[in-house]
Amino acid sequence: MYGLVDVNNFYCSCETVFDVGLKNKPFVVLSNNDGCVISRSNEAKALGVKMAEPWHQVRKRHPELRYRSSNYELYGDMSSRVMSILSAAAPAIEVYSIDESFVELNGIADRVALARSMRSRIREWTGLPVCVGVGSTKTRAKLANRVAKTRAEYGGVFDLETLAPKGVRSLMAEMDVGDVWGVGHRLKTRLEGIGVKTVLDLADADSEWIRAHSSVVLQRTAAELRGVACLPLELTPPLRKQLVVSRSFGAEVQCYDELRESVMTYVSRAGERLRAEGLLARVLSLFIHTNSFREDRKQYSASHAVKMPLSTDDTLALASAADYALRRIFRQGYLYQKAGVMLSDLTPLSQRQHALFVDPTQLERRSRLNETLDQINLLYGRDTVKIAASGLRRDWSMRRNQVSNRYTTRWSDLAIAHAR
Amino acid sequence: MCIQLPVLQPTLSALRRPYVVCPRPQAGFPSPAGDYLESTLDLHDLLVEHPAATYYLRAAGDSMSDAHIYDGDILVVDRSRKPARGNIVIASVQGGTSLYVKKFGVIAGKPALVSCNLARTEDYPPIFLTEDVQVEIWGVVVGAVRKF
Repeated sequence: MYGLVDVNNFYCSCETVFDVGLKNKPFVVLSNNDGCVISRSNEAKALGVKMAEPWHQVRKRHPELRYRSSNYELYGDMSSRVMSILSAAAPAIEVYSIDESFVELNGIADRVALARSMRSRIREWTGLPVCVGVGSTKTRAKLANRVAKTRAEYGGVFDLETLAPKGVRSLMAEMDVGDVWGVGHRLKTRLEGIGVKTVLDLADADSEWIRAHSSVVLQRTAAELRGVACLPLELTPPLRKQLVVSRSFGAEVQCYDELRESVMTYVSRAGERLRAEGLLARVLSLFIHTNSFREDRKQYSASHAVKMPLSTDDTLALASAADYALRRIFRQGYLYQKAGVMLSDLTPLSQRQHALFVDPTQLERRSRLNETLDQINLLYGRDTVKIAASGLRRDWSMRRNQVSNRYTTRWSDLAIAHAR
Repeated sequence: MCIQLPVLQPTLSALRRPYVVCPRPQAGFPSPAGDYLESTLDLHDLLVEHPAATYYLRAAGDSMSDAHIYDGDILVVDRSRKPARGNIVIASVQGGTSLYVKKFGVIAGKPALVSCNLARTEDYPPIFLTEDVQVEIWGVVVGAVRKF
């Protein structure tokens, strides 16, 4: 038995906790570089603002609409609070994304009561509203969550398995096939074309027929809808295959030095993340490209992969590989819009291979240097100490015009409690 | 024989809870304190009972000075605590844009959010909790931190 707990309008809800003036107001949170809408308050939804709509279009229709740039420092911290509350309340949890988790509810006599207490505890401890859906499979729990979210009469908690089989069928008949976990917009259109319009249509469809018309994945989804559990809880995340750090620039970048600064910053970030996850990388790929939507301009995109002599987590070694790659692919005379670094061929640090001609004490010293860098940056804030090549100016860095304070991760950014 | 006092500790939890690394003596007489080791006191343990529910806010203003909360103090706020009469709380008034630090008290039999500055009672009148004034208690203040 599974529960799916997810936070309503997660990014917007995080903002409202610390900025109470946003409560019950229409507002949205925008993606990196303030490009698109990625979270909407209920009141913004009521205005007809759509998910992923470009901000410049929304703004034309609603010039008064308030917005925030995304504040991932805050969202990450609030997410880990929610997950830690859930871990303490349920026998096992799988963190599925920043704002949703599956919880195991096997052997729980009163699932609805437990779900309600999780919901109210998260509300009290974090100020965030959540909905809980319960079902005998993950796909049914997801579906139940959808019901909890859209039908106010259930008070944010819905257990599909409390209904008689007949009740489940009539509920499924009322729901759109697009409400099923894993059925995206395109698949939905295709399914409707072959007569599968409701959730019940999919659950009732012949297994082999689904496989012939779609895929094994959808076949499994349909089985899960019927109550055959095919997807267990993933308690340990699978080992990462690659690590990507890339951003679009706030303003387009033309000159080599600026591009190099941005690349070096991404390398530092990638190095930090490698070390935090206890991984080593063997291959570094660098990519750069211009804005493909500007058809009026000359276009260029390129990437280059460098295989390093040894698997490493050393920022300086990664930096020299990236430097080499950038010199290979950089072309003068283009306006670059995005650059990124991808690390692949990853192995756990515990399986480090030693090389014949590398002095192990040298490796040790280097790893202590990196550790010290990470500690200083953790203590005194990101980029207190960094590689000089990443530059001091940052003309290219991300646009986050309306970012709120990092209320929970920086002493300088605490919310104010007025004593007046 | 030396005791190292590392400036930087290797992990996040160690950072928050610094301790002295005491290398085991290679030879000679073992430490008579060896059987009595306890972990060093850590302010975090004293102030934070529920880490997932604890937030820090900064006080601004002098309306709570008689409750020993001064301008610039860092308030330790535990949202898991049920607010009780007499607690110092963080609260917001419906429709307002600010969070306030006030005492949750009773005046003339009526529940109210009260300031604590006897010298300036005129400037900081209590907010009575009535049908018309919807107040939300954000969390209970369990401590204040001040650096000199």
